[in-house]
Amino acid sequence: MSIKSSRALRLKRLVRWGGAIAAGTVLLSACGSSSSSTATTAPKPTITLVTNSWEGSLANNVVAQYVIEKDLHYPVKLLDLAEIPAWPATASGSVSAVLEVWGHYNHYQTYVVGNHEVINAGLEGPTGNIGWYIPTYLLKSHPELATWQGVKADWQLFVTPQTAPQGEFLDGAPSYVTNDAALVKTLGINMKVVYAGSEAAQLSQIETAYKAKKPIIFYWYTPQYFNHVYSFSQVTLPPFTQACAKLPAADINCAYPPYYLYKIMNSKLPTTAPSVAKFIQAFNWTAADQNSVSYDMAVNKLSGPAAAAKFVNSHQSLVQSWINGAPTAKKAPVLGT
Amino acid sequence: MTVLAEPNEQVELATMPDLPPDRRTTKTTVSKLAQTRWSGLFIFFLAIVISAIYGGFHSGFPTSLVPNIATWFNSIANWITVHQSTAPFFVHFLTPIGNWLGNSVNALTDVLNWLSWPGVIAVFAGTAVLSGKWRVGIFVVIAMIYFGLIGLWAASMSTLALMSVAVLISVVLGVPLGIAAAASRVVEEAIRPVLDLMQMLPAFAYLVPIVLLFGIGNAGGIIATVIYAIAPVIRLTMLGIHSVPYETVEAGKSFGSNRWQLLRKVQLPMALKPIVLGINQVIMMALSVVVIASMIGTGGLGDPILQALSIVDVGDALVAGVAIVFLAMILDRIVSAVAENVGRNVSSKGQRQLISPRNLRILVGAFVIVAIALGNLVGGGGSFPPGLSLSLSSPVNSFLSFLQSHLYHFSSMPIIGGTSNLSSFTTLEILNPLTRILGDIPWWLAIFGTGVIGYLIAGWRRAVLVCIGVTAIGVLGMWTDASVTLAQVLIALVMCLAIGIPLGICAYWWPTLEKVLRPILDVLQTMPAFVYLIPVVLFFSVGNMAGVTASFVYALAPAVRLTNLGLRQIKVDMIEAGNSFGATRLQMLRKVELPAARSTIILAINQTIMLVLAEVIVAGLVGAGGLGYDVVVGLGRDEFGLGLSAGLAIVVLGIVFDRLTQGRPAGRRG
Amino acid sequence: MEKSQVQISCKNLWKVFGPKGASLVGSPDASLPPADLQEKTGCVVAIRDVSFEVARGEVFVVMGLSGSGKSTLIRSLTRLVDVDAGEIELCQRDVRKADKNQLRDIRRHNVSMVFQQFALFPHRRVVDNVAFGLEIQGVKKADRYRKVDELLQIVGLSGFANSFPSELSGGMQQRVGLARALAVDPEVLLFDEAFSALDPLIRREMQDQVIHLQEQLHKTVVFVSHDLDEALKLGDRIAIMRNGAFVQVGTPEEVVGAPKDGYVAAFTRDVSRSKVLTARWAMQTPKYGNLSSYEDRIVSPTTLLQGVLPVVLASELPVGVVDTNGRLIGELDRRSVLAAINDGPSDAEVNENHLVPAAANWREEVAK
Repeated sequence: MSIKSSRALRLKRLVRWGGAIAAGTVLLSACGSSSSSTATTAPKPTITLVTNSWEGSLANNVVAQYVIEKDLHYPVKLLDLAEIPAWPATASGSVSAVLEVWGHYNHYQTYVVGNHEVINAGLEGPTGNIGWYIPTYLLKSHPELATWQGVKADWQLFVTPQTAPQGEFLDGAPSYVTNDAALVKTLGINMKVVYAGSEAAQLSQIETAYKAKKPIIFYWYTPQYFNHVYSFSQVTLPPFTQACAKLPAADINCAYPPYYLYKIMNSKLPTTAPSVAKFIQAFNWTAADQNSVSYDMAVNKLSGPAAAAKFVNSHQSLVQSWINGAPTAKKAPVLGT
Repeated sequence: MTVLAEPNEQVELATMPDLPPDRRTTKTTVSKLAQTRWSGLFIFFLAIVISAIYGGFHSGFPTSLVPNIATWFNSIANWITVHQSTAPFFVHFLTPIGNWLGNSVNALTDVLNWLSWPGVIAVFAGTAVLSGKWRVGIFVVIAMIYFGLIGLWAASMSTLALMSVAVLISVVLGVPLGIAAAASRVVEEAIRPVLDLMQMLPAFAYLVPIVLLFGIGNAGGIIATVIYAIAPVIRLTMLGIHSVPYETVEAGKSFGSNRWQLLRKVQLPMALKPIVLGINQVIMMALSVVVIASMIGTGGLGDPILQALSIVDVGDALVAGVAIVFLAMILDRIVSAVAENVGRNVSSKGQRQLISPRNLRILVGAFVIVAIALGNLVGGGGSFPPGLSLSLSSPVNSFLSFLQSHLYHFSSMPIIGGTSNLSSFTTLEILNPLTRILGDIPWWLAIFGTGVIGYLIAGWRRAVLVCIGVTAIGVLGMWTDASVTLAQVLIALVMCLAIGIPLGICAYWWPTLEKVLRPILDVLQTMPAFVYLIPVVLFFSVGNMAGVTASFVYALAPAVRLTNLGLRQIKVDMIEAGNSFGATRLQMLRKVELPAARSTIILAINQTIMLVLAEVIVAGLVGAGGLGYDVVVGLGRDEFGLGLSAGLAIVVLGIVFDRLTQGRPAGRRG
Repeated sequence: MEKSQVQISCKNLWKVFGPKGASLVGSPDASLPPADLQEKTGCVVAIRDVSFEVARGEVFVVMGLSGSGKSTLIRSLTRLVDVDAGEIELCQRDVRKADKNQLRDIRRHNVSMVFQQFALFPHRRVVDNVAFGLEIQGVKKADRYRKVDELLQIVGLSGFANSFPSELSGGMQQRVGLARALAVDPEVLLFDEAFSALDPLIRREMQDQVIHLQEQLHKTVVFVSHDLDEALKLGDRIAIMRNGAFVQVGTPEEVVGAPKDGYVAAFTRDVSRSKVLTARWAMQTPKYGNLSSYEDRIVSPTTLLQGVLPVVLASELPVGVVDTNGRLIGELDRRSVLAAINDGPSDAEVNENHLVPAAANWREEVAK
């Protein structure tokens, strides 16, 4: 403390007299290296979990954080990070684990199959269901919209200034690979795809339409806590086949494949924090579980720890199975996801 | 971009008749000029005809001329991915740098935590007070208590630490680079395009390689921030050193100063003001990438904004956004205050002061120590007491939904209807047709047509540059998306100028309005664009109108400010002369004031275009498509090549616009 | 002049601005009139074959209109501007051959300069402005401040040591400039239009101060000015400069009394000759051999004609001119004095001379 305090005072004096700025940097880095060297001697490493931009990812993490800190006694840090940087970060060890991964066939080939820096930590539980959705209220007046043939017939419902004279299909966040432009073309639907550019923009647009009970058709997915707030129905597309998945991207004419959401972790985690690695491999819950935690945070405005505590207290045996149970089954992502 | 335009033939031509008619040289110059002008236009015309014969009237850029640049970029990224953990250059050079950067941020965060929240507030407010700025001190206290009240004290401190290190590094690297550029023409010429590139290339486009090279977290965040924000301090250091009066430099030399003495004792101190201005701009630009930095794991104030976006909670996003604005203002004001105090050219003698400087220093020092002690003993250390918190997000949200329900729909407003109508009208009647027209122009006509425009307003060299630029967009494979973006940029520009210039004039007429506008413009310019993604969509629907609106909001400030500044800078005697002839207010404006403020207003147009282009990414985030969306996809989907190509196309568009709008101001001399 | 007495010596200096300016020196193009030269080569000759010497303790004034090359000339003495050809010797040191360190040494110790726009350092207090040269030399702070105190007293600015330049009036600022130049105790002082930017009253005050200082310090001074009154007041010798060349070099009396050509004449025509010319200038061989025949009608040779006038006008008889040794060296009468006073060129002459293309004149001079 005394060394630190004298340094801090020195720093302050520098600021006060507007003095040597460069000296500050040197000083800081000196401080920094000393503090980091003390950190490595600490017995338990900090577990860093990646929070991606969707609420479900945060729900996984707050619950995992609660359990790891309370029962396994490791400090946990939640890190907001985009999906792509999460892979090299997990490989290098600056991130310990990601609890919900959608697809990412290419990265999986590079880091899990290729250089073994990342481990597949098994399935998370929910199956990601991507597809075409409409608000349920539309089905009352237009029951035929339950299938793509109905959408093809009723395209005029969805005309907007942006796409006039065609109908508008609202696509989602840019980080998801979508086949909608190809589908619209191959299925012969008179629509144009508008890319919302961000999930926030897409959600705002859906909300606005929903409040006014206007027609809207969009790319969407489950699990998503929004499905608890609003009622959406999926539009049936031609069934997914392996043959269809092998088509060139512009010619795809079938539904999206199911995404078996899985977990990844750094390959050294089992040696540096064995109990945490075991926990992450066993972690497994349902879409409903995840949505309830998301809902508590997003709509009921509970803090992360509070929402986690609420869930853990009412699901004691599930939590115990994560701590003592067997790893979940593994399934590698397939091409096209 | 402070390039002085080369002499402008057109204006020269226009002023010729003022010269004595009997001067032989004048006549020859005029006729020579006319000849080159016509032959120049003839060459362009010829080029158009020839390429029309070859290219036909197809729209879009010929695919045969598009090499697969994106794939090439991708293979670089892949190579880095594969070699990242093995190549010695990465392992022994970049990784240590990354670690060092990360550690310095951690160390600074430790210091801030140790100071505790009352200590931090006392240090910052004390610095302001010691620099003689009581008001800034009071603002610092209020703003920092706000960080605590909204529950973002820790996030604010980590952003503060990150930004301080990034700004410090920018200054430590930027000032010497600026000095080198001021000393050598060669360095200056070499550095200028690099600065343009760094300033205009969207950070989204290079986040992935930065993560691969430096890792996630603070290291990557600092590098990305420094790349984006360092340009102004280099430019303004250069400008500052150039603007030291020549005679003073001679005076320094005449006493036998060597180069270092001259720099340290004369040039740098006299360039202090521009350099500080540069540092302030660095701060503003650095704070504007806080949210983007959060995407690569720096934490801080960007996180709550991203989280709020994922649950469509504008209130939360706005509350955190205001914290970023406050942080920018604190750093800006403190740096200015300290610099002003250091560089004050007026002795304190004769000023009446309540407390002597020495006693004030002791007082502030004691106050800081007490605050630190109190914070550590009573206040619970680094974190702000959780009991004191303020929930601002739900009132903001209810206000917003109230606004939406009253402004969005058809019948909300007389005559123009709701914002949805406004949006539909603009999209259907203006944006879509313009996009179509721009997209349908044959590529050769676009290239040489802009060349002709460039030639007419900025002369030969610029015309060639513009032609190369437009071709480059095609070669990058971004032709169609660039035309989509261009349509939006043009409309946003027209909106900014149509509203900004009159506002600037009104603020000139009524100083009260200026006082009201100033903080609003400050906020518009520093508020992270991510905060208004949702409101823009709520009012204008996903699509290009939302993109245009976001750009308009962001880029309005310079149009208003610079118009106002240009008018206020007019010399008093010129206005007196106008008034002495009995001119009315409008006559004054049209015949005296606007012409006198012309070059500043052209600068306003230039700056507005640059800001609109900077906002192209945000347009991409609200469904406007175009180059912005490509850049966003590049980051989101690991298509580095696509993102970088689109980013470069934005840079090229920026340079083309910049060189075109800069062509005019230097023209009218004397 | 004795060699040891010469402090500044310049031989055949040339400076040409413009593309490939240096190559112009000595070529036939160099003798073209300025307008033709600029048309043909785009060059301007700023210094055209200038040679002169300044003795220790002498005040040498370079006079000319703006653009005549005088500022370039004074800057070339310390190589703030590098000339294209010629030799410069300053305090027995060859300036043109000096390397970087030698040049710095000359600038630090031998010569200092006072600037037209003062060129003070706005970020330094008066004390640190004055101490600048000493600071550059590496003199310790306490020593330089002691010296500064002394100098501020001399220029009448004690009490302003801690002010910033922006807080002082123009005259006071230039006093700081003067003190700054004196602080390094140079042998040579250069004044570049030092008082042009000041009000007439202040300017006169500053000139008096320079004269006063010069009486005590005996520096070697080169003073550039466009103000003839200033030149006549300060200069031991005056060089009239035009288009880069010296047209005439001489004492004030020579310049005023015997202008070499129409240009110089036009310059000096408005000068009140009775205030410049002395008894020596107008005297003739005495008619009487002995001093006593002049009774009390005696003046010294340095008496200005305006002082002689009342004596001459008082009687019809001639007035004797007697040197400090009491020797009779000449006599004055009404006619000779009035002739000297009125001997200026006529208006017609001046105008005519002025309009003649200067080329012919200075081609001759260059040839000399």
